[in-house]
Amino acid sequence: MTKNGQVALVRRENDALAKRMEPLEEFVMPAVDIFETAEAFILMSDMPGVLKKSISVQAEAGMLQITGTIVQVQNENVNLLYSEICKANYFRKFTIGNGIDVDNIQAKFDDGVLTVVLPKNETMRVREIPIK
Amino acid sequence: MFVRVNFDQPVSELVREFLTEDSNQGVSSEPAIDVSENENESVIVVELPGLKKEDIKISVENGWLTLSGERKSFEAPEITRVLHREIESKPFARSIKLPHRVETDKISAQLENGLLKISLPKAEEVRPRTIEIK
Repeated sequence: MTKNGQVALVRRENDALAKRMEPLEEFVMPAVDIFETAEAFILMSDMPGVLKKSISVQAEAGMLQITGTIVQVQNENVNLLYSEICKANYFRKFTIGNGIDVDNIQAKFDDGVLTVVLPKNETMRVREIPIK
Repeated sequence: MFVRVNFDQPVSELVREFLTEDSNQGVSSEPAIDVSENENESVIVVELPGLKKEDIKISVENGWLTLSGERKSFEAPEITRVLHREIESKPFARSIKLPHRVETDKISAQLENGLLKISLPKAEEVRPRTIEIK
């Protein structure tokens, strides 16, 4: 909740729903940070081992969905001795409210971190009202 | 960070670990690794999302490889609120015993898409040899 009583725009979608919608695929939820600025919400997500071209960011019907397909780094002639790194694909969903300018969402991928910028639309921006 | 569960562990231990997790805060974390080998080299892959190569230190000494560094937390002056935080930015360190003698001068490392890949060429004496029958 903001001090104006608006409902928080970006909210973590619960796991049960995500699982119901993707029942057959094994995935992990990537860790995310979400920040707010005057103009936008910024979502950052750790997706090590993914290529830029194998990431998808989709906004539809009040939902933002991020997926990333893991690239197998091992070659065929290689013997895996020890493994801790999770090889499942990344998947996570978020609800987004009406205050997001869906047409102007931007995403970039650097150093294994996906950054999605969700600009606020007019209804969501804070306006400073001058006192006459 | 992902939760990793060791299924061989008794449940009581898992619960204890879970409950004491907070007390580990501030102590450095250990990034996840994979180790593989072929005839000529071993390869260590380390999960280090959000790090630049200048933030990572790799050293080799006495048969141990040590990785350390710190992820810089994301900061921007225009941020007015933090709504959600799961990504840790604390120092990390990990030492890995080398699986064999290594040609130390030829160790190489590359960082790509949040994965650090360290190639450890095997020393001549540990490489497999085919012996010719005379």
